[in-house]
Amino acid sequence: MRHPSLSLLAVVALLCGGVVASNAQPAAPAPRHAAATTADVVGATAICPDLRQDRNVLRTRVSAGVAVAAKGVSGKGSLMAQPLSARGAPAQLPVDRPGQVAVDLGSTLSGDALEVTARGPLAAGLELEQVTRGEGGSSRGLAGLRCEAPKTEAWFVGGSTQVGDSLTLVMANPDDTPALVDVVVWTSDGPADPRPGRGISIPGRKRAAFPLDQIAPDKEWLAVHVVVQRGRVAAAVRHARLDGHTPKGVEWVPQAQPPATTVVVPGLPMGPGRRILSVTNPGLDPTVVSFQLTTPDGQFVPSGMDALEVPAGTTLATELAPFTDKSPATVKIVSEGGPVVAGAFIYDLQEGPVREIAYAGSALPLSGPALLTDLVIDRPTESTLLLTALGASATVDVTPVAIVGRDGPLPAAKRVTVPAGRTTTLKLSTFLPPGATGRLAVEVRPAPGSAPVYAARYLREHGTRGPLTTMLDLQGAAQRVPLPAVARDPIVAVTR
Amino acid sequence: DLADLAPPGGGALKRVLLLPGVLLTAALAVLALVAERSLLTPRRGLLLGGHLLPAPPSARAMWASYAGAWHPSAVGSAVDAHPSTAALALLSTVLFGKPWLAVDLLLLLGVALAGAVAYVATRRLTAHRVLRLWAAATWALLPVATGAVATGAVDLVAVQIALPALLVAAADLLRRDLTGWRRAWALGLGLALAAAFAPLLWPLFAGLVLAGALLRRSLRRVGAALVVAVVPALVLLPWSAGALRDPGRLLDGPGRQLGQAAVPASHLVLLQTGGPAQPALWVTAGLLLAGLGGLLRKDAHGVALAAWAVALVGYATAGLLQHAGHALAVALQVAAAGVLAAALVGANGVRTRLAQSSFGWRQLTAAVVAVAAAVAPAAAAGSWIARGAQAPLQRGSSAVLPAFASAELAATPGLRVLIVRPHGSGVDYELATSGGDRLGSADTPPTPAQARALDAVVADVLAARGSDAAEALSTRAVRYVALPAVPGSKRLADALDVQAGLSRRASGRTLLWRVVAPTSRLSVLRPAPAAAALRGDRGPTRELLRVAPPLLLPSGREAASTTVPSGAAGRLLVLADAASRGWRATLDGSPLEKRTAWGWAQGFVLPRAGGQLVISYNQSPRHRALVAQGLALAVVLVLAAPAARRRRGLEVVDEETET
Repeated sequence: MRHPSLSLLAVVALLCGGVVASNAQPAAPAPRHAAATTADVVGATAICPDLRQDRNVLRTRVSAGVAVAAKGVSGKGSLMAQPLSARGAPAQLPVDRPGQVAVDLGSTLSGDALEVTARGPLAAGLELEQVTRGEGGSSRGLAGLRCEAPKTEAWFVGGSTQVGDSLTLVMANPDDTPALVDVVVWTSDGPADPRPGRGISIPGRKRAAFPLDQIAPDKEWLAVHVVVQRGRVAAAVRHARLDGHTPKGVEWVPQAQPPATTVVVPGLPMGPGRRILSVTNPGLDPTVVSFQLTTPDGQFVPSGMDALEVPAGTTLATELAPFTDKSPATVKIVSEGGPVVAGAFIYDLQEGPVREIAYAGSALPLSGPALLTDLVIDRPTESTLLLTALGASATVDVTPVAIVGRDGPLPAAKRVTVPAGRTTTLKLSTFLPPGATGRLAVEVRPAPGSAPVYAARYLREHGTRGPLTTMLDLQGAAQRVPLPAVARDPIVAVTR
Repeated sequence: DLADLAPPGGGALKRVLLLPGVLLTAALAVLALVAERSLLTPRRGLLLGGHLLPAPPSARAMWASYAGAWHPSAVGSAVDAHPSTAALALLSTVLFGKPWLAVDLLLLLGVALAGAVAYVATRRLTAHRVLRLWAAATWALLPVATGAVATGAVDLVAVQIALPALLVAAADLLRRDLTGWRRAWALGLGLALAAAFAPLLWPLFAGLVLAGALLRRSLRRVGAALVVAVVPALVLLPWSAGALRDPGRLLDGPGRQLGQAAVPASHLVLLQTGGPAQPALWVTAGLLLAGLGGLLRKDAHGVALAAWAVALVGYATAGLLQHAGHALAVALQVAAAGVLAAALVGANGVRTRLAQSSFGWRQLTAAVVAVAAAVAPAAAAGSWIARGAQAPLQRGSSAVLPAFASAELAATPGLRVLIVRPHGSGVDYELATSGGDRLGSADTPPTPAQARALDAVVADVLAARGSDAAEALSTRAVRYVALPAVPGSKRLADALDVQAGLSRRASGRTLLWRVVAPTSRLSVLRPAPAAAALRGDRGPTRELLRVAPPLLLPSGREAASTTVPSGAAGRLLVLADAASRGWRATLDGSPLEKRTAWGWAQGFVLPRAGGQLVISYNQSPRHRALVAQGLALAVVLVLAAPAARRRRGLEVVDEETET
């Protein structure tokens, strides 16, 4: 080391050795954020916004259930129901474990909303459904609704405000503070004047009904965007039609998926009558859309429907009846331009002047187990489950679920395989022996590893004055949600 | 120091101004100001970003935050304030009580100060002025220096300024026979001042001095080295005592932690720290080659070896720190000082030495290395000017909260706001009070257990899982949750929107939710929620809030004095600050029994009767420790002080005879 050249060599060797050793074991800088994980849902609320009872003429049934979680959740949960207007302690529902359904709730409530709150293991997979059956007048028909969690944004596609149509936006505010809502409407003629829909206030723990003809009078093919500026609301849109004294149908317009460039409207039921697909372009630029139908026999793009222009701010209504006479269909809408919203209007053909309507909403594939909590199996009523696999073939398990208060063995589960690019139907009466009647609740769950599958339920009852119909798309309640990785960082308090 | 910049015999102002050292300092200052031109207007707000949080409004506030035993960062912390707070407060006091001026001076003109000190220090190594100018400019514009400015690393700037003087003083201490101990005390004091900013310098530098003393095999020098090692521990009391218990606190500098970027070892050898404002790799290659060339000098071989020993220790420390995921810049500064000293040793008189032998590969190699080394400062300066000021350092904080919300927070001391912002795949958050976070608050984090509990609550409030996170926030006195509308915030906004315990209040540049549950820094829980709090629940259930809402009491930022009404037995007084030994509460003079509420907060058991409530944090241990620090500082100052007197007399003569 005394010799300069030697020391130079030694230092260079040390430096090179250090570099080589360091590269051999490269340091992995510790990330500021841990990996994101998922967590069980431990609390859920759903609100049925509009319960009506009228002796023998009108009856609303609410049913609540909890789907079985993917993995066993321990601990004790609670499921409580409380009318929105009530101040007292909420009533405990008899459901005490996942995989149970309570039916015929809220039968004493009229002109009120019902809030159902689940905690602990009962929260993951809470489903709440309401069905109103009316015998006459503007309420004649079946109107079904999946009761949703209160949120800050909702889309509805469908409905009209022409003479004879009554289209009502019902909003329930579950919080103690007032909610402030903006309602924006598009029609087949373009966007409606936004001013009347601005700043609608709903007092705390109250509900409000807002006739949409105040915003867009004498229009058809509406798309409604509810934006909550303050608070949260559970919103729903009810469409009732009356021609003089002749009932022309009633239905809840289902919540649509927010605007997207690919929208799927699952489960247009088979049968005579009109099936009108309504596509609204809420953007500022025109777009071109194409429709692809998935039926039990395959997928196809109807001629002339591969490039339809939807001008900015307007709704395109397209008749699909020729394709649904003989087979059910699921429609995939692809927009080449901006995102669109879509839904379908189902209008039954029948003898006599009375009519009935239903709406199919746009939906996402089943994210997990979904419950059908209120199935009445009897001779005049048929409930059909429509399943569609757009891409690869899918497998779905349909499992009967216990209804609280009704003993007896449950029917065996069924496994349904949906071939790729096909729509399959399952009559839910096949769970019971032929000719038997009864109440049923089923869980519809994609089998592990199954490809995405879309599901909808169509309910059709043979009434004395023609059919009564309602549709419900199945979504699957969230069971596990992403939990972000968080890290404290003082700088976020002083810069944007 | 200005006198040192001038050669002896300087007189008139003009002569002083034309001195090389002064010119170099001025040139570096102009260069830094031109390069950081976009950050020059103080009217646009305070410097912040990177490691740097905005400076407090006054030196008094800074001293108060240093002297306080309780720090309001997040849910509150009893951690000792970082000594850099005291050092900056001291500098601010000198600078007319303006902390922002101290920060601006260090960050915008630190490069010039580093060059000036380096110029003076290099006098010990060479008398050649051009070489000294080159060395000082190179030192001032090293990648670590420009990187320190761009990342707002005040600690690294302070080290960049102090390290040349410290190293030269240490070399003197080891080389010369001591005339007294005061040099050791003075060096220890200097080290303490630098280590106040960058604590890692303390073990690194003290270790180097001690090793040098041991190699000299002189008991007296070992004693002096021990003095150097011990003085920072004394002067930095009580923080140093905590750091000795938990040595991990020595590794990272003060301020916001950025996480060390992954730097390849070959870049480390070229003195690059990674991160922003690093010049091209080749810029420092010449410096490294020149440093290696220093080893070839026969007559000053010992000095070059010593310099390289320092450099290698610095390199090795940087490598180890990088491997452990810690900031390595301070170690790389030590390495750079060693390399630069070796280069200076090699360059000193290289012309005369080379002239002695006939022209050949030696001269060619030397010429290439010399050119490469000479362009290093010029290239660094050029690229700095071309780059300009670089993120993350910026000027001007922007209001995150809407005006009504910040007014409400300012009017109600102790109320907090949770600010969340998406960051990559994760989310950054801060639990802030009305003033926002200030310089030093990043160094007083809550305890790990408190931080984990807070992390869990924040993650839950950002997940639509129907948890009680909003109520858990309400126990932390959080009135609002704010989310700046930036790309990626939609997902978080959706999750916050569906939280039952939050209600949207504002949209626009910042989305704001109000926590529905009543929030206050100080509240009285009725027996039912009190039982839930003592059980360790995260927060009251919505049903409990409806039937037994808490009684909210006014409070100050830290202490509180108010009247409590009488009520049922089993009530609990809850302070929305982390439970800590220092909290005291008295009701009409009699102390209240302490409990932990909601699993984290400071609670006190209330009797049936009401009365005058006084809550305070016990400051006396901290104040006693600060008195100890003051005494230690005074003693060290006295032991180091005679320098001033001797320098004028005996010492100068001594130096002249030696050089």
